[in-house]
Amino acid sequence: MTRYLIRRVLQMVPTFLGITLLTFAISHLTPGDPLQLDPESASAAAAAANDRFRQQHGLDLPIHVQYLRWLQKIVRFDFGESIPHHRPVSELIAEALPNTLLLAGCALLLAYLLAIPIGVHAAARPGSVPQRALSLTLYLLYAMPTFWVSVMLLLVLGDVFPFQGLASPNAETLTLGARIADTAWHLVLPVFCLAYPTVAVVSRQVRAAMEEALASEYVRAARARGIPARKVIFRHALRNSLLPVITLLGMSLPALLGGSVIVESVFGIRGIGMLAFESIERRDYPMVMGICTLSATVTMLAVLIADVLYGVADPRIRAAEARTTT
Amino acid sequence: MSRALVTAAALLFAACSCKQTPGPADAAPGPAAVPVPTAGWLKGELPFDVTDAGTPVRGGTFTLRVATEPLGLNRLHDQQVEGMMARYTVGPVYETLAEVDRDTHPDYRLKPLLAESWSESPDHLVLTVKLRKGVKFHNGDKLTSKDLKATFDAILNPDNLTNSVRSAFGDLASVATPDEHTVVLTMKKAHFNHVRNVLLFVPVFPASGLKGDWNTLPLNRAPIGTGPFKFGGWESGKQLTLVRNDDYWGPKALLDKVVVRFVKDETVATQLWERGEFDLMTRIQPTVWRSIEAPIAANAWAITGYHRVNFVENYYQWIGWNEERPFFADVRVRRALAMLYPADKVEKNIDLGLELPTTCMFYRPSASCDSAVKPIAYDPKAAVALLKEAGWEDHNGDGVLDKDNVPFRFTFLSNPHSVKLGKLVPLLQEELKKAGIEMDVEKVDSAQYVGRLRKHDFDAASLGWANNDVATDQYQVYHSTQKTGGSNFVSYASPRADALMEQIRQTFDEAERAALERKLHATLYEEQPYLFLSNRPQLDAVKTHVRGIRPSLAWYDLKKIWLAP
Repeated sequence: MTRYLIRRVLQMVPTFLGITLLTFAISHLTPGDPLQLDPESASAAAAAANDRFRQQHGLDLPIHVQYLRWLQKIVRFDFGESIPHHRPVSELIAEALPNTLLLAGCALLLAYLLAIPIGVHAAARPGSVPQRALSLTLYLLYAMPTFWVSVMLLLVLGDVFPFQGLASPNAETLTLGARIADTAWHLVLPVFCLAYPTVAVVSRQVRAAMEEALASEYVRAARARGIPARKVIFRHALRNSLLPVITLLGMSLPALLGGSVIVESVFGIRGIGMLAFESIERRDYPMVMGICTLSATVTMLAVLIADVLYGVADPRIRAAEARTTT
Repeated sequence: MSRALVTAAALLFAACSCKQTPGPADAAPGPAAVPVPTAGWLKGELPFDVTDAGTPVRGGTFTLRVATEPLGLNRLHDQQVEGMMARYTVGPVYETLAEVDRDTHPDYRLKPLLAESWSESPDHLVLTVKLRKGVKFHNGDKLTSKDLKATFDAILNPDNLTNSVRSAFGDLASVATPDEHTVVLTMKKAHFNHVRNVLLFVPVFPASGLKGDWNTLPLNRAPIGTGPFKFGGWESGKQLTLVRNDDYWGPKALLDKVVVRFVKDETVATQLWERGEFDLMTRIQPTVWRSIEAPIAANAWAITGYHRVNFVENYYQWIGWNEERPFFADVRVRRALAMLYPADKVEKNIDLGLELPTTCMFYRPSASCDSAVKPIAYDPKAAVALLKEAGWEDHNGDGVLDKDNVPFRFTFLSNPHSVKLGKLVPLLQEELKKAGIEMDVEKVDSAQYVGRLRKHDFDAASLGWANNDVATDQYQVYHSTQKTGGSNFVSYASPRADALMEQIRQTFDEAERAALERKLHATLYEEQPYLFLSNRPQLDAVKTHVRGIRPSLAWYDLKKIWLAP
């Protein structure tokens, strides 16, 4: 297992280089200029000052030299400085990251807590009326775009729930308990908006996997042995249906850090999604690269963790790995 | 020169905020059921008791909504300057040598602020400014001529990104400080607008705060000025707080606090506004402005809870024709295009009757616009005839006009962020097609748009020009020498207009200059370097308990605002 892990981690190096090189190239080759966002900067005097700025920041160097310079810094965990903000990229990310993590973490947790029982129930009681109604609802939810749902929620429930930021203006004066409650109250609408599409997708996956498992021979055998239906479903079938769910979870993890531009912008939350979006608009290359590096790393780690979890969930994979790696 | 104040917001057809004009409106919360808006409310005029009457009361927090959170609060920094930020920092926090007298709309005469007085040499080359004594910065520093000198040094330092202000001081030869309270500015050339540029557009920074790297100065995030409000705090993504400066040298502000809330999304902003969270709602969307007019109970919050403000700024939108292209070099073609522009349809369906179609590049209510200039009317038949006269005819029968085997086919460079362009472009496309002109559309984002204009790499494009002051020097935009390095993106070159603009720069008598400017207005409209579209008004709303507030070209005067108990 250890050797397997080492090999996997080593494989991540070329992948990381590939991803960052590609992002670097795409962001720098996109037409546009971080210093030319308004008509004022179009004058001759401005051009001279802007050229000086470019020199100082190495923006006039050939693109491969710029990439190597960036790489040199990144191995020392130096993300560089944002062009329009003139602040370290790491500092700006650190400001936005907690909000995104909180939001996406809650959304992911909620989504899986709902999706797994829904999926299991759907597979166990196929065709029942409440089951069909639930399926239809999930389909409808899945079909509704987040930007529309979030605005609708705000219009309909804006009087019930707060919808700007993650804390009330007077939050500092509250006790710890009250502050947690306050933030939880603020999280209701944005977390719902982030969670509902995941619920729809994951519950369908769980259901499909469960249906397959329930139709398999070992389940029939278990039933034939007189094991209670509950136990068959949860102990035997569910465990075997979790593999695709783990894959999905692995793929959702990067979203934890990616943030959501729409939800963050509607609910006025300063997160990674907005930061990334604005950086792309402003051609803030160091910032774009910083966020890309972060999400590439997390994605690779997530895939690795999912693979390891496969082994935990399925002894056959564990055995096969042991054979190939030793 | 004063074009330095032309802002980028223009690019998105989304400027900032301002208004004016008093009138009657129903301030008292009416009988709940069906509120009826008054004429003044519909027009967006503030009633007299809001603008002028009453005995001011101290205290309270004034919350206003702005759409854009700036990257920093240094108005002189190119990457940080943003239309609204300049307004809530310069005046309230930073002060300039003079301010415009808001009571003298639409002339906007100068009124001393940090300067006690100033005088110009007869040749208009030397400006001597006497600074007010006893003024202190928020950090306790005394205001002296050294601070003004340091501010100018920062502006003129070629290593600093200060282009938007520096371009107004290209002719500045030296800044001397003979004593603590005297500053002498010497120019290389005389120019009618030097005085206003120096007095109105240079917020005075403390010399001690300007030491260090321009991009990372502490005052970029925590400004230190001399104004009636001090910086209170800035929560990223949320709000900026200003608090009253109780050591202010002049009449103190009345409000305890001003909170600037950053709410980008228009739906969210409208929702918060409806919940009464803003004392001043800025940049109301035209559709929302119209939707709250119906006298129904659902609109009661707006009709009885707010006064509306509709104020015309010194801002006009245009479509520019690149004269380096074979089609647009001929003035007859440009005039024909104006005849094909469906002004009525645009006004009714896109602008919802809220924008004012214009022919003038100067401030609309000023004496610089010639009221005798008649707009070119929508007339497709006359347009076709004029195009024919210019040689554009469908010779080969393919449905598209051509001349010397060149088909009349061009690309409109559009900005996907502009709501108005999104609606206007298809309409224009349709009209042109009927006349045998094919217009394609290319959408590019802001980071590319200006670069393309500067390189003259476009056929047709659209922008707006804005100026926070009445005095506007058109040289940078329309003079033939400004094709390279200036803002003459369309490569317009007219000896007639060039001569007028040169003459205007040297004319110091206001009436005489206004007469020349009217001539320039007529000339430019006749030659149509742009298809002049409209003046965009600022649409705001003010809560009914707010007093002492009045729109002006220099925005609201925050130090005079108070809240009725």
